[in-house]
Amino acid sequence: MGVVDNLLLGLETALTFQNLIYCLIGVTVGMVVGVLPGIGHLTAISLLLPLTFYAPVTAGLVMLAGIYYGAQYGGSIASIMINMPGTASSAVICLDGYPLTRQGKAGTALIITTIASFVGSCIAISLLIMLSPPLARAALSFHSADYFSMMALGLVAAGTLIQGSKFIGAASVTVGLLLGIVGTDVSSGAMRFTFGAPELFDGISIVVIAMAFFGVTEVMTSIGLARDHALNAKVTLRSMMPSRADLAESRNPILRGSMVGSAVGILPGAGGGSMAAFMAYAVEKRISKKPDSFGRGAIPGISAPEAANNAAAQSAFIPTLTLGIPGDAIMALILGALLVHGITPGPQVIADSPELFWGLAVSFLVGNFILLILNIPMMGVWVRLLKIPPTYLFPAISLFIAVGVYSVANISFDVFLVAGLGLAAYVMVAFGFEPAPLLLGYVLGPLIEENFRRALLISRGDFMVFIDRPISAAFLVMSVLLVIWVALGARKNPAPVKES
Amino acid sequence: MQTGMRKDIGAGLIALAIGIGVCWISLGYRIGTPSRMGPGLVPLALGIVLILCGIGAAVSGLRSSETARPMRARPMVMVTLSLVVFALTIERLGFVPASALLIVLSGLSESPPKWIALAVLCVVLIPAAYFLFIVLLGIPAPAFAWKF
Repeated sequence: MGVVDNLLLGLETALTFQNLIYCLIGVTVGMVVGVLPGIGHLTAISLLLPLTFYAPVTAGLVMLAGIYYGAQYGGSIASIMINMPGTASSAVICLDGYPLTRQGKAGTALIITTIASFVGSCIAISLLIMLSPPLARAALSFHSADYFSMMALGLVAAGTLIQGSKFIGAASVTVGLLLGIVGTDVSSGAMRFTFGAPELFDGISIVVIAMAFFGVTEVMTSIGLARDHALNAKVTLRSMMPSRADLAESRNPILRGSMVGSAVGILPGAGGGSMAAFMAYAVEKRISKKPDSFGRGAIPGISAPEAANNAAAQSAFIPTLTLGIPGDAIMALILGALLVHGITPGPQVIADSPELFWGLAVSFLVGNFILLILNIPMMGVWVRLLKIPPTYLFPAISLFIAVGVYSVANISFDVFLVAGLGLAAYVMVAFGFEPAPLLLGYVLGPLIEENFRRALLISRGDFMVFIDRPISAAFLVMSVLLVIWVALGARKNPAPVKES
Repeated sequence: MQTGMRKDIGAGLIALAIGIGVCWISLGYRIGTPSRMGPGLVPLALGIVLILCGIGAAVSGLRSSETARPMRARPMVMVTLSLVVFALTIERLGFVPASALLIVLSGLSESPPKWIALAVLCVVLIPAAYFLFIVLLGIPAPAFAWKF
């Protein structure tokens, strides 16, 4: 099938009434949680994960993905209006977005970021459509040893590319791997870490893990804290009309930001949007003719990072859907949703379920278009969401956690489990454990163990199989180099200087 | 909670404790050989990795004075309690009382509790959640029950 046939198939799938509705729900929910500081997109996707189990797989994924990229649009609104990022990846938008608001240019800032988001997404989606099929075809020749090494690289990257102690990062991944092991061992039938509880024989549900680490911890961290930033500026439709000079000043930063974002999004473990946005900001500041204007309301300082974090949100789907390797925690949740629906992520997905892949890809375009159309007249409504007091928010999230977890298997055991794990997660995160690498470990754990065992079974216990195969060896060498690079970097500057 | 706990040392000790526990349990499973691995090999290896990471973090933490993020005792207790009470009551008392208890208990994390907001939440949120989860998604939980 040619590209045109594929896109037509995607169009046919994405434009069914059901998928359109799920897409609309997804992007709207994404906008709302993106705008509200205190709930990140990880929390939102975790909360809505159980709902997707009741929908067909394509519709469910269309919705989850919609939440993700919708939140990327919404996140910058809080940054611009109240100097508080709605999502982690829009933190950098505060630097120049809030000064623009104080200069009375909030409307301009909001429309520029909306356009940047749209362009960044579209560029990354085109990459997704062009790159995925050849990548998947190449990956079809991978053996289990190659898979093991590729996943190992993903885990090493997730554990080491974090701020703070790399030991704790590695420990986070390991705890995640162990949580993924709980339950019946596939090869021997033995029960592992079930403590005699029959509810654990099938393992711990991804919903329980996600809700404990991204739901309960968020609630405990933020419940009862007043928001100390007031909303002062008003946004009218007229104030949103960008001037020709603003648009001209944004064009190249948006294109550069999109490219930086697309590239960063593809890398495993790079943390997706936040790193992309920071890198794009740094690039703009470096090449700008007036670097002094950054931090005081420079238009390129919002357009480039905003394009970058949206591009990264889309291009992150490339390794997830073609190789089955999630780059960050959100992709791990998407992968988990695929597994729950009985689809093994990997290069065969495009060939075996073309309607899923192409439907999803086209739904990204549809969703971004909806966001663009929705945002211009609705901006006033989104901005007003910032007035909701947090008092209402967190008890509601608690209820969603409890009912959502209960709904997975209709047993109260899971709710007890989420309470206990959530408490443990809160303490661990306070000591610097990272929930995102942990989730990655949890999702990849069973897959990596299976491939490890299969590779050794085929090679009759010879560990050389991981080095004899060139692809596998390359991934392992990259993992080792990464560890060395991080270890050397840690010695050079023991206390990473935080940029203000 | 006390705020002076050293971050990396604390994290190292947590990892060490989990690692020792995991190794202890894994030794009860069959370990096997590389070509015919038993169910215990991978957990044992991961337990050892955790112990090493824990020691590494604790030792490197000796040089850093960074403290753990202060933990908030009241939300820790109330949010956990609200989930436990929900789990205990959803089948015995039904969806509506269980949800109301959860909203009020988690709302008690805030001091002083905002009673009016919590009442509004109960009135608005519980019917909405009931409609979404029980009516639309068909979760088999009664609105009210009395089973002990």
